[in-house]
Parts: sequence; C-alpha cells; structure tokens
Amino acid sequence: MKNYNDCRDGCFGYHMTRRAFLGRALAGAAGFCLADSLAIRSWAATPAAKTAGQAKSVIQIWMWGGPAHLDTFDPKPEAGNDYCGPYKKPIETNVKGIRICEQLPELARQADKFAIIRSMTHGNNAHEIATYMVQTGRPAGERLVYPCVGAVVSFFKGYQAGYRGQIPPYVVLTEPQGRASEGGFLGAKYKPFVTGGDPAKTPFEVEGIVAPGITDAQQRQRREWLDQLNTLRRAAADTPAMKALARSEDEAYDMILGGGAKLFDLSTEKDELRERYGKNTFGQSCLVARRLIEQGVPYITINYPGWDTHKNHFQTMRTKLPELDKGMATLLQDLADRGLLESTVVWWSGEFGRTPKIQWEAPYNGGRGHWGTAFSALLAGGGFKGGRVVGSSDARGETVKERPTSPSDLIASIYKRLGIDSDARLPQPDGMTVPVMTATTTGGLLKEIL
Amino acid sequence: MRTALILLLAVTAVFAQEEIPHLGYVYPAGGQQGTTFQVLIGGQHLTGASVARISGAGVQAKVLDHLRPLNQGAFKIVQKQMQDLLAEKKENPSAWTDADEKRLTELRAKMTTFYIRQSSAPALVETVTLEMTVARDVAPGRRELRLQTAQGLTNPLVFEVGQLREHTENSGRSIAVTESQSGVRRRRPPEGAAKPMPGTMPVTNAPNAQTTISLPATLNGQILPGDVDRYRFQARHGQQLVAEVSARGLIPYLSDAVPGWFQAAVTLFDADGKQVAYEDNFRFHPDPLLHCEIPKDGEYTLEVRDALYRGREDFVYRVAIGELPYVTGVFPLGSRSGTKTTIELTGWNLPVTNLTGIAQTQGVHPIFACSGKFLIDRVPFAVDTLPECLETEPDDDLTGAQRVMPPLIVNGRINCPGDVDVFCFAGRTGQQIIAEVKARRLGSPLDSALKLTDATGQKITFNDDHEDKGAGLTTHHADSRLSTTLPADGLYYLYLVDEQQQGGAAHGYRLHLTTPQPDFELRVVPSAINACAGTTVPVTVHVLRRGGFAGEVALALKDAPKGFELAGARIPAGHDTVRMTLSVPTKAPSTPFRFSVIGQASIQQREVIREAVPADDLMQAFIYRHLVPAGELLACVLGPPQPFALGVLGAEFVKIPVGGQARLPVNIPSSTSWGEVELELSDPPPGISIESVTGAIVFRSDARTARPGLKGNLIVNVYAMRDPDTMKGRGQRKKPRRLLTALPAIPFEVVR
Repeated sequence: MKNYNDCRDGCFGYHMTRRAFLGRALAGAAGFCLADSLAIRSWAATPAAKTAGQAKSVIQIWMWGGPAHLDTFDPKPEAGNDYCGPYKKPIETNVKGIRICEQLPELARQADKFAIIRSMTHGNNAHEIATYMVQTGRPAGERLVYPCVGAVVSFFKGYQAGYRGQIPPYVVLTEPQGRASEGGFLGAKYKPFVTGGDPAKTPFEVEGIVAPGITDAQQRQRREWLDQLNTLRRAAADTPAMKALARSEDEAYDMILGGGAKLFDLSTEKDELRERYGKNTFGQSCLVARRLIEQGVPYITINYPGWDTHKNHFQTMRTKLPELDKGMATLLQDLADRGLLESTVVWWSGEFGRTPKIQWEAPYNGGRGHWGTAFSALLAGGGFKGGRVVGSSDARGETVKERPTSPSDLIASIYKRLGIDSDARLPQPDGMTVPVMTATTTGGLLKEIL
Repeated sequence: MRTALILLLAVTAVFAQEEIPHLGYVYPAGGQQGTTFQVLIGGQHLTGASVARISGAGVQAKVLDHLRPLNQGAFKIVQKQMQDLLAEKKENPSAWTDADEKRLTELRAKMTTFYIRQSSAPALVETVTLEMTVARDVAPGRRELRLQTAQGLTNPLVFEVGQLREHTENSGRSIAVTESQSGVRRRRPPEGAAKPMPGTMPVTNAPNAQTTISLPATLNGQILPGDVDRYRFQARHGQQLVAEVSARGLIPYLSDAVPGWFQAAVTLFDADGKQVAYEDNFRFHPDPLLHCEIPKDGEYTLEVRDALYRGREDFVYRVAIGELPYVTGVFPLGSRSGTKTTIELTGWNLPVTNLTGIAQTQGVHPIFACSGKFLIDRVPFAVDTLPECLETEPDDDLTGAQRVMPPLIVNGRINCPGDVDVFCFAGRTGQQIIAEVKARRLGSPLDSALKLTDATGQKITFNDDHEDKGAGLTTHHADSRLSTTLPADGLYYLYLVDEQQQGGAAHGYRLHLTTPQPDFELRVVPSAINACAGTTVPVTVHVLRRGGFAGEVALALKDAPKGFELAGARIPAGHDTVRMTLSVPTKAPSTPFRFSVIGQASIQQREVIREAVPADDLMQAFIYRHLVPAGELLACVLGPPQPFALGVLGAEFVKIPVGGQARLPVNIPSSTSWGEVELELSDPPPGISIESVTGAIVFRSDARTARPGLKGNLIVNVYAMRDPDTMKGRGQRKKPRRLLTALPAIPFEVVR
C-alpha cells in the first residue's frame, strides 16, 4: 500500500499502461508517422523550427518533489547549521570558483560541462502548480492547459517534423507524472510513452515492448492467433484505413520484436559502464536515456522521485545524492565521450527548491519544506556553455539576489538551442494558434550561457 | 545606558533544549468518570518521561513504562552482548546460571523492540504507558495532557473526560509488540530497504473484525492503514441516533500528512448490510456528526474509517453514540451583557427548545446540552456590550432595507438559499464604518459576504472572507469584514448574503456595525517553555491588531517566579510579531508552573492591558501554519545549573549603520569543557550578520537588503563546538555542536 503521506505523488494518476501502449502501438503509436492517413490528422499547422539550433535532443532529469538547492548546487556553509545542516564543506569543482555540495564529487569533476542557474524563481510552493509552471513555462490558472516542454519538442521535432524513429519521440523513464507531462491542448497524441519497469532489473520490462515471461516466438504465435480472429481485417483488407492500420501494426511489432526491445536491453552494455552509472533505477535510466539519444529520440524525461523530503531529509540525502552524483556525472561524461553532448541538452530541475531553514523538530526531524522563491537548475550540452553560474540567491538561499530566472526564461533558452523559435505557433483545437513562449518580466533568455 | 547581564550556564550536565519532546497521539484519548484504565502515548524524545500533567482537577496519571525501540546502533550492541553470552554458554555450559538465563531473556526482549521500530513513523516510535484514574465526580469535558520528560514538557494533546461506557480496541503498538515477540515482524524488509526503517512495515488490524456494543457508549479506535472499524448494536424503531466523531478535534493537525488530519467517515448499515446513513463531516467541521431516525427494530453496524483509507497510530478517534442530546445551533448567536434573552435551540433529543437567561460577562461562552445525567456537546454563545437588535424580514432589497443606527449588533439569519439581508443607515462624510460578520466563529455554517453601496446602488466596498488569526481551529475564514470611510452625507445600504447560496435556520449571524474600536489580542508561542536553569530561550509573541490599532505593545511577565526576566519585550509599532527571550534564574522551581505574558499599549489615551493566549504554531499539510490555542502557559526548568559565567555588557539598544557595523561588548569565554564556543544569530533579520571577536560581537548590516528603519530583536545563540574531524568512531555520528543558551534578546535598529 502506498504510504499515506506521500502526498505529492498520488495526484498524478495517469500513465500509459502496457495494454494502453499496445493499443496505441497497434492503432497508432508506431503510426504517428502515418498521421496523415489515419484519423489523427487534426491540425493544419505545420511545425516549423525557424531558428538555427545545434541541439537535437533533450534529456530532462526531473527531480520529482523538489530537491534542496542548498544541499546540491547552491551550498551556503556560512548560513549556519540551521540552514546547511551537516553539509558545511562544499567542494571545489573543476571550474575555479564554483563550489557544490560535498556529496557530489563526481559532478564536481564535470562542472565544466554544465551551467548552474542559482536564481530560479516562480514563487509557488504547491507541487501541482509549480510542476505545471516549470514543465510548461506558463502560469497556472489560464484558460488553456499548455503542453509541457516534452510535448512541444515532440510537436516540433517528432513525426510531423520528419522523425522516423521506432521509439516515440517523447519518452518518460520510468514512472509517469500524469498531468505534469501531458500534451495539454496539443492532445493525447503528444503525451509521452512511459516505459514503466525498472532498468536496474533484468530484463527491463518496458511496458508494451518487453513482456515478462513471454518469448519472441510466443509473441509471434499470439499475433498469428489474433490475426485468425480478426475477421474485420480480412473483410476490409483493401480499404485505405485498414491498410494503414496494418502498416502501423507491422511497425509496432517490429518495435516489440526487433530494435525496440534490443534498445532497452542493457545487457549489451559493459558491466564497468553500468557500474559507473550506478546499478540503481536512476543510474540505469541515465544509461537508457543515452541509448535513446543515440537512436535520435528528441525528448527523454527521467522522472527521479524521492526528493520531497519533509522528514528525515539528511538521511535521505545520504542515499540519494551519491546516486544522483554517479548517474548524472557518468551520463555527462558518456555523452561527451560519444560526441553526443554538443547535440543533447541535459536539463536538471525540480518543481522548486526546499526551505533553506531546516525543520529540526519532530515530526520532521530535520526536514525541508517547499520553496519556490529561489531554487537551482542545471543546463548542460546542446551548445550551452558549461562551467558557468548564472544568477545568485541571497546568503541563506531564501531569495533571488541577482538575475531572477523564471521557468519561462529557462525553457525559452532550451527551445533556442533546439532551434524552436519563441514566436513559433502552437495550434489549439479551435483552430487558433498561440506562440510557444511569451515575454517574461524576469531576466529573459539565458544569454550568459547561450 | 550600560548594563551588565550575567548568566550562569550549565555546560557539562544539561544542554539547552535541542530535541523537543513531542506527543503524537494519546490512545484512548479519554475515559469515563470513575474508572481506572491504561493510556498509550506515542511520540518522540520522551526519554525520562516521569509525570503526566493533565489540566484541571480530578484526573490522576501514573507512568508505567517508556518504550523506545532499539535503533540500528543499539541493536548491534545488544546483539553482540547476546552473542558473547551464548558463546560463554557454549564454551562452559556447566557455569551457566539462572542469572545468565535471565540476562539472556532480557536481551532477547530488548532485541525484539528493534522490529517494533518498523511499525511506526519516527515521530511516533516511542511510547509511554500511563495508568489513568478519573474521579467519579469530575466534570466532563476536554483537558490537556502533557508529559514531563528529561527534555521538559511536551506539546499538549486532548484528553476527554466522558460519561458513557467506553470501548477501546487494541492499539497498533500492542499488535506490533505481539508480532515482534512472535517473530512475525522479523521478515525481510521491503525491497530496496537495506535495514528495517521506521514506518516501512506498519501494523494492520484484522479485517472484518466486529465489536458488539450496547448504547449509549463511547468508542475508541485507531485507524491503521486500510483499516475499517465496525461496531454492532441493537436499536429500536424511531430512536434518534446520534454518533459524534472526534478525530481532528483530538489532534488538529497531523503536520506530516495530507490532508492535514485524520478525515474520519462514518457509515451506518442495517442488518441486511444496506446503508442507512453516512457522514464525513458536519457543516464546516471535518469531524462527522451522524444523525438518523432508526427505521426499524434490529441490529445495526457503525463503520468508522478514514475517507482515503489512510491510517497510522495517530489516526485516533472517539465516537459518542446513542440517543444523545445534541445541540446543532442556537439563535440568536449572542446577546448584550446584562440583558434578558431567550435563546432558541435546535438539535436532537433535546429536553427543551428554548432557554431564557441573562448573560453577564463579555466574551464567548459555551452552552451545554444536558439530558438527565448526560452532557454532550457545547456551542459558543457571544456576549457583547453594544446595543443589539434582531433582523426583521422582509429586508431583501433597497425598499425593504432594515433601518439601523450604528454602533449596534444585528442578530440575523439567512433564512433560505438566495436570501439577502439589507440594512440601511445614515452616514456622514469622512465617517469610518466597520461592518463585521461573526458567524463561522460562532458555529454557524454561514459563508458570509458583505457589500456596501450608497443610496444610488453604487458599490463602495465589498468583502467575502476576512482572515482572523485568532479564530483558532476555524481556519476557513468565511466571516466577512469591511472597513471604509464614507464619501458623503447620506443613506448607505449594507447587503449580507451567503456566498455559497445556502440558507436556513442554522445560518445565523451577528453583524457588528461599528466605528473603529482600536484594540489588540496577543498569542504567545510555544505554550510550554522548557529551559535549563540559568539559560535563556526565545519566545514569540504575535499581536492581532483590531480596529486600526498600529501602536507599540510593551510585554511583561505575570505570575512568574522571581528571577525570570524578559528581554526585547516590546512589539514595535506596525509590527505583528516579536521574538523576545526569557531568562531563567539558576534557582528556579523544580516542577512546571503556570504563568502569563501580558501586553500593555496606549490606545486613545487609555492604557489597555491584554493577556496573551498561549498557543502552539502548528503546520498543516506541509504548508499552512496555524496558531492553535492552549489552555495554559507553562514553564519547565531543567537540570541543576553548573556555574559558568557569561556576560553581555553593552547598550540595551544597538544601532547598526546601514552598510556598516556596531560593536557590542561581551564577556564570553572562547571555550568550554565540551568544546569551542561559537555564536550564531537565530533567525537573523534580512541583511544582518554577526562576527565574534575578542570581547565583543560585531553586528553588520548589508546595505542592499537591510534598509534604514529595520528594527526588532537580535537573538544570539551560544554553541559549544567540537571539531568533527577529531571525533572518532561512534563519536563521528554525534552532533558536533551543542546549544548552550541564547543571549538575552538585543533590540536593534538599522540607521542611516
């Protein structure tokens, strides 16, 4: 039974199950590329990437629940014990003058590859609203529900823009985040494919692709049986719709029985590399993300839960930070080694930071609450300049001191690296269009690192 | 002016309080008059619990035991001791004695407590068992229960003295103990957990268990994860059954849960399993109140659960069930002091529906419902000094508006959904008018809204909800209040509606139509102040400003023993809160004592004194904070002091130039027997920092954030520090610093 006080996660109910994925795969998932011939040809708007961007893909590391900025990339050892707790000795990185939490030594060695934005702000302390704001760059409560970044990238870089990969253009590893990673007004077509399963286990049972306990031969046998039962298919075999469906189905089975399944088979990776990533769900998710990048998947989100540390925060950090450190640092190095980092944006952020002042008393016993007034984000690769710090928070990390940066500023900067113009339009169901981003009152595009 | 404040610090024996003792639940949270029974208390940092303090007279408690399940480190030590003992036995069986066997049994018993730890959240993992005796003649009602531990007094929790026969189901802890002793809990921890972590394997109750009861009764239960408690009883056709649940009423905020309380739901089933009634609240109260007329003679089952099927040991409830008298509302909601008033009562099983009497003392007083010997609920009744009148229908529009003359209080009612009550009064140019509805705060479900217009219907001002931080546990601030200066001579119209478009006999209100009456209330936090003898601790006082009062409030102690002193005891004009300090003498009472904090202010050339209501600042659902009132303000002095001189020498008031620094001479030694001394500002104001230099503290202000005019108190904590690098082995895990004391609060202002 789910722990009752896991308040944050319970609200995000929807994800694509194996059954739903297969349904989509057979009736359209692989057929995204066949949108013109199936019923999903809904909008006239043609995705257009107007500006030149060198990034092709994004890996979003979503720190689900909100990581403590003071205990990661904005340490404040001078603020005193009530603020920094046991983390009083931040470490130097390989970039002079940039210090991060002592629990992140591997990332410290990769600091030349990433930029830290220490002045993120939106002022909201509620999970759902803050998540929406950070994932869409829009304020909550507007008439329209906007698509999240992954859906927008999928729109501009996905099937309609010429993507021909077997794997859907927007993939979430491994847990879904429901409303926060939806297609918004773009519709269900732009929702992500959620893998489910656990890449730290063998096999990585990807929903709809790798079925537990079923061999490829059994899978083929089942398809044959299904074909025998499908009298409608035979009766209307020559109709365009049925032909298109057949093509979709062929591609879906290709994905299940061919390259798709192999892509998620991590046993082909060297053990040494798997160890470097960390033999845990997050570390192996990073490895899968790299493999998806190699296949050209435009947007991958790694939903990394467990950062909503209202209670026993530092006990949790002792486990989580080394896990984050290994996984993310190895991902950056691995991408760089393979020449992929220049074309891949790695975006690290949660919906907010955590209260700088520690709640030592029971029942929190050293906990940190929600803090949207000032928090940190990381950007690496894709042409973003590494080894930089953008903006700053005050001496206790409570407010933004220099260069306030809104989620909108950050997302617009990512779009710029991807070549998605801020003026590009997104189609609404009513036929109207809206710009991808609107102007902000904060610091604007992250020109410092663009 | 220069002063010399000399403190004595306890350095080696008792440190200032860092681990605040915390009560999570009391189970059962009450007991019947004239009975003796056991009570289980769950919490944290309860070591040394020796005395249970229950407010009021007639309830005695004896501490029977304190169980603190072994943690990982302690488990290994006990395990090693047991292994050594068994090795000795194996090596030399003939030398094995009864004493060795007893020792082995004791160690085994200790080890089993390790597995209990998995059953509870860390904040509930310790338990204290009390033997409680409630005198036969003691008044029924709510009390506050606290424990006195080695770290001082805990927070208060509700303990009810009841009149009905009580039924109490087994506690979750008793199940955990049984399972641990039987080995059931020694199964593998959940996947991914390296060791049995607190709360990862909560205990559960047996499904489908039912308890047979006879009415009337009080039912005590603990809802564990997925738990549903069922009570079977016989009832007769036509009985007016009432089941009143107390859950949120017992523990107002489970600060580490969402929603922030145990949201109880009750369902009544007949013998065929058909649902007869269901409730999960009562009006705006989260605790349900179920009433139904029993349709036929037979057996019925009452089911109690959490609305979301959550559960934990602190999901404690009490249900009073039977054909009980219950007042759901009164009208009017108050009266003028010294005036004979007839009150109309609504509810169930009431012996009378009208009461006539004269209320004297201004304030809010409870009205009780009694039937025979049973006294059940109480509803609030306001007594004020202003003239009063009743609302008269029809007054639904401009033409029917009821003419009134401020200042006065109108007792009215939104009679039906959509009803509008309109009042007309004559005003003058520049006249300040305040219209305030008191309804929710007096138990009415009305969600009021007020609109003021001129004679032409032009809106002047509107208000829906007005937050009153003094409203205690009524945290949905549905009462409205507007304050305005009238623009011209003429008639004005005040519209009062229910914003939810509801109405009925229960939707009463008191509309205060007055001119500003500047006043204030105070809340002092926390309600239990624990301090070592000879040390200083911070105390927070909130001022709730009324009627435009913006002046300064001077604070002082009342009924405190000699030697107790406040510092920084002044709430500056325009400020709503102050953190001051209380210094405790080296010679202080060894038992907790009651005292008060009073505030004095000059209002319209009058000296006004108000006593601070003790309160605790509780968090709800990880975000919202509420000042929950407590019955008494207590101080508990800990441990014998050891002489250690510490001096603060300097100005009473520090002026820090903007962007500059100010120096305060002090006499603080650089080290203690425990370690180096370090100073740190507690909750420093923005832009203010300190630096400790020989013989002084230097206060600095950052010109970018600390603006001229910034003022308040500076509280400096004094710590003894150990270099963690020199702490070996187990010592490394211990805290490298200890809070010795705070310095008396230092008032400051940033100046140009």
